[in-house]
Amino acid sequence: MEFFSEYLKQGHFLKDIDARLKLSVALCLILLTISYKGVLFPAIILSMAVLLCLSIKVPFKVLLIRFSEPLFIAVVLVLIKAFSQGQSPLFTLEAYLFSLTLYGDGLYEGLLLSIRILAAVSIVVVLGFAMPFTEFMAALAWFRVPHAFVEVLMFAYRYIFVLLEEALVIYTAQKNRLGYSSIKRGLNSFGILTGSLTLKAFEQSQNTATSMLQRGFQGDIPLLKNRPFDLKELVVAGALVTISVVIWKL
Amino acid sequence: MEALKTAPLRLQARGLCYSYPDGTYALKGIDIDIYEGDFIGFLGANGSGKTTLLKALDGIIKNIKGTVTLDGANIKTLSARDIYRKVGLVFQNPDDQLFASTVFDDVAFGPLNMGFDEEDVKRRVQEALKEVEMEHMAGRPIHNLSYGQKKRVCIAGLLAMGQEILLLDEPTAGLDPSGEYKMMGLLTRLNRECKVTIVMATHSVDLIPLFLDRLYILSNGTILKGGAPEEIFTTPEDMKDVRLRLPQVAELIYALKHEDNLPFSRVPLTVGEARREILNMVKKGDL
Repeated sequence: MEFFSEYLKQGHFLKDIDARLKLSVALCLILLTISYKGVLFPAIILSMAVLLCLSIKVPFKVLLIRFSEPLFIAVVLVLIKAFSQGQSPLFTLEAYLFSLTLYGDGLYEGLLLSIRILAAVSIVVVLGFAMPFTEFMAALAWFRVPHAFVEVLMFAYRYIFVLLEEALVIYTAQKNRLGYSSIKRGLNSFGILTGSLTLKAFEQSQNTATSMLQRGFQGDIPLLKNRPFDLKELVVAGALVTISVVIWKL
Repeated sequence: MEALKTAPLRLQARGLCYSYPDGTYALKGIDIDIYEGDFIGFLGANGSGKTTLLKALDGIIKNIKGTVTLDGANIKTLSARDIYRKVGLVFQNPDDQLFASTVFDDVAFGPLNMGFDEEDVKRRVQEALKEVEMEHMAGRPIHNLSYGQKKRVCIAGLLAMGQEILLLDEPTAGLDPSGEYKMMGLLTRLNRECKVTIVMATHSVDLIPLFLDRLYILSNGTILKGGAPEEIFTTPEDMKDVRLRLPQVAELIYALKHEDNLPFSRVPLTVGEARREILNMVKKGDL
């Protein structure tokens, strides 16, 4: 359920690095990954990202959960490409009216796309483990991302959990009274659940607005400023991007 | 009671009335004086108007009849900034109040809005979190906190702004017995040591005599009576009329005194008082 800060309490070295640098390096690496034509660069990025996650003691199970969605997309892509596109068939399976041909070039293309997806996602995963949410927001604000967008993200991050909790309470109450005992009843209960959640969200927004007003809210949520850049961190980040560009050009 | 007060008058309501859009009266002519350093409570059953009264005193409800003054100035003429520099309301449900993603950010919200520089904001946040014993949780996401911890962060958010009057809506609601005592202990400490004026709405009759100096019974939007707990908690019948009860220990002693004719000189409101009273009677040979 949590994307950011879950493993920050373990106090690893990535936590203290300037969020703007982490974000910049991550964006550069994602751009390099998706624009690379071969397998080498995304493969290096993917393995480095996984090793980094393991080195900061992210449990392997958590890592698998994070990768499960992109992995599913990657597998589907490989299957589609391998069985539907290509010129050089490797083998053909025939059963009754159906025939399924596996193409070598299609398979390669699918693997290429998949590894790019996995590598790009792995960078985002590392970023998620390496950066507290508020630092991420402050970094976005520094990059001149519209303030309204940053505020909406902050509210979403906070209240998604409140809404989930509320939804779970309503769902349990409905389930206890056989609200999901048939498909028809389930659909009806689910409709009531979403309606109730909308009303609760509206009520919550009013209460939150009142509470913000009484704490001096004037239309903007003030964010603490980012600390000055650390020269050592800048040099390391620059070196990392340079090395990546060199590998990318190979 | 008010006549004896020498402390400055901070909040005052005179003829305070409020009705909901459907015409139902929630407050009917409330008169109340709140002095610096007070630790008082509004006691009433559900729907008696406690929360509405707190919101009116905090200036959240605008369309009131009558007057509310803060340090002598009519609250209607004051800007939100002027009011909230001094008075803050802690909501019953902490999720209504805590909107930032981490404890630190939420507590820093008020001071940042007040225009303090960053170092000052950090100092205020640390001090406020220390007051509520949450300094070790500064970096934690709000959704990872327990209900009681969230309530304490709500209080820290107002303390960090330097608010001198805290209005708390059911501060012990939803807490376990240990959490209730912890919360009341915290409020007592803020009142006694930090000189914060505390006004709370509650229906926890068992806790009130232990902590509060003065309380007001609210029923159907009116104040029925006000005074020290021993002046208020007199007979079970009086309390039943307003859908409340005496503290449990007082109910027991009252029954022993009036139904079983045991020679109690008075009706103690706390377990400690009852214990002393019983021991005295045993020593005297009355029991």
